[in-house]
Amino acid sequence: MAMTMEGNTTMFLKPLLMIAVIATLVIATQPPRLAFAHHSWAASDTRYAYYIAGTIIEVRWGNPHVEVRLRLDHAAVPQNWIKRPLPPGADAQDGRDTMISTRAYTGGLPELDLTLAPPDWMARWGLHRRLEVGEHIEAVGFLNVNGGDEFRPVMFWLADGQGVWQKLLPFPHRPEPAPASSH
Amino acid sequence: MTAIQLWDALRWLERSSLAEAVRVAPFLYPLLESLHVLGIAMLVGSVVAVDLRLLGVARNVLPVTTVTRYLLPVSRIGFLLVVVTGLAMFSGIARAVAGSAAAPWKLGLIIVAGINILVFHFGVYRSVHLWDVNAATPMRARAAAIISALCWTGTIIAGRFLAY
Repeated sequence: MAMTMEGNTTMFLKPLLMIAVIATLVIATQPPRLAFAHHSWAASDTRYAYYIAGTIIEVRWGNPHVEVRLRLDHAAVPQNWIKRPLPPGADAQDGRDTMISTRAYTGGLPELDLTLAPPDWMARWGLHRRLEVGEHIEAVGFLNVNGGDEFRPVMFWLADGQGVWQKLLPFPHRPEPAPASSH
Repeated sequence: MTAIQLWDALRWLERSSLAEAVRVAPFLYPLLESLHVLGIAMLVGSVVAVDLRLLGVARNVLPVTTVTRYLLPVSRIGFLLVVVTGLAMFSGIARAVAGSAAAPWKLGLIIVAGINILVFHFGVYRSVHLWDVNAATPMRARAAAIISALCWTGTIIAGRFLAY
């Protein structure tokens, strides 16, 4: 009797146990392919910084992150880029390295999705209002390691010149200096 | 329901006043996150304690039914808390969550955990009086405990990969 019960059980529970084990293993072993980690820069290719400018066509303001869709101008990196002051609250080293790594975005997509800081951090970095559709902004930041249209600014500038810092956590790779002709 | 209809439904959810409140109401989002963590602590903490008893920990001291009577209500309150706060936070960023590779894992693991609970309670747990205390727990109960602990651990991991 006991033997029979034990036998049935094993038959019934083994598949479930295997699903659980496989699921846990799969999740644990494939972090780089998941589209995760908006909190960190792990999903961004932080070796190459890109300059973008454009018009906001969509805003989702609020927690956990502000998201903005930008229609790009495909502009060149502005004159005297390296001399542009960093926004308030910027980390000097990370800000400088990002500026030096900046090249024009040549990825060809007409629009990019910008993942920005949540409202509380925006306020701490000096932006006390919502971003609005129709605004023109400039940004410098990184593309996703897996390609696609996601862009993570390290800092951005409003049309009136106000800069807003965006970075809290460390870069997985240091930004590499852009070729001399880029600036 | 086609994928496009689902996407439209999620977009509608994101644009609802609930979702807008979740995103912009002062202190609401961190409060939801805190209560979600508290719910996880209550749910997973009590469940893992029950799982350990089923695996034989303190089997000569603590009857299984005592452990389940006092801890499973805590896990139910925890579950209610994570469901309510989780759905609220989901509404704020429904499309991003649905598009994440971690989402089917999280949902799948919760479903497996749920099936495991049903199999356990309507199966081997009916004979708990035979192995309540001072006895080895049956293989089925130990297997259920392992599945439970793995599923909830996996759910937490998937949840962190899902998290913005």
